[in-house]
Amino acid sequence: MSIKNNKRGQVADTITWIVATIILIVVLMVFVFIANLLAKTKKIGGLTDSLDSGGEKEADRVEVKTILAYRLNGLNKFTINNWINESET
Amino acid sequence: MDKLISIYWFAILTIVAVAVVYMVAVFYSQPYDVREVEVNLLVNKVADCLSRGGELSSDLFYEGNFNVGYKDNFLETCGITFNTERDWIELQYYFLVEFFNIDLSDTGFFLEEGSLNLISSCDIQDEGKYERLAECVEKRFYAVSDGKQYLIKILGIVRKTEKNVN
Repeated sequence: MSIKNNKRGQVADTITWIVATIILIVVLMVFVFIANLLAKTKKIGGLTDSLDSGGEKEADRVEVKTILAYRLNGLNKFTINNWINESET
Repeated sequence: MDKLISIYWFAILTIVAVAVVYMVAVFYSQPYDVREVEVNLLVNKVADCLSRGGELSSDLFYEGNFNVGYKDNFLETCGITFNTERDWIELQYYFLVEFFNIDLSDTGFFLEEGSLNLISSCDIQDEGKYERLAECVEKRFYAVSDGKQYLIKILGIVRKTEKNVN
């Protein structure tokens, strides 16, 4: 009679360990899956090589050339700005 | 019994350690795509070579017209090289500079260097189907020369897909 009771207790102990191991492996697999999802090519943004043109707006390096050219010849600004802005659309 | 538990815990620790190492390796092994920065640098470099202080370089002109001979050594003149850190069969860069009059008519003069095959990548990229073919950037600016007004359009393309994209 006492041997039978001891056997039941040992089986219960073993099942606890097995279940714990399975849970551990499942949790690890979930983390590995999430890591695979999050892993992707990291795109570095465009060059922000800009100058502060009076505090109102940061000017692109190429945009500065246009600003300087306006000081030499400021005619047809509307046409020029429209043409330049076409590339941004 | 203690021995068995020790072996078990060692096995668990090993499994967890391997999983952590794998996750870190997978996450940080993904490349950085720096092509947008690279192509912006290329376009800026070309623009700097063509125009300073709002004026087009005098080397661009010969006797009042555009100097066709300027195209021949443009890369050397501007200190631009298309060499890469890795051997590709084709060139991985391209740029096209077009000059327009103030009435938006084409002057007919242009500067072009690099692999022409990359141009089609920009069109496909617009459709959004293959975003990782090549990185294209177009910049426009205005400059003057001898009282005349010019509009300059620079298209820069960098491919290098194998190094920047997984």
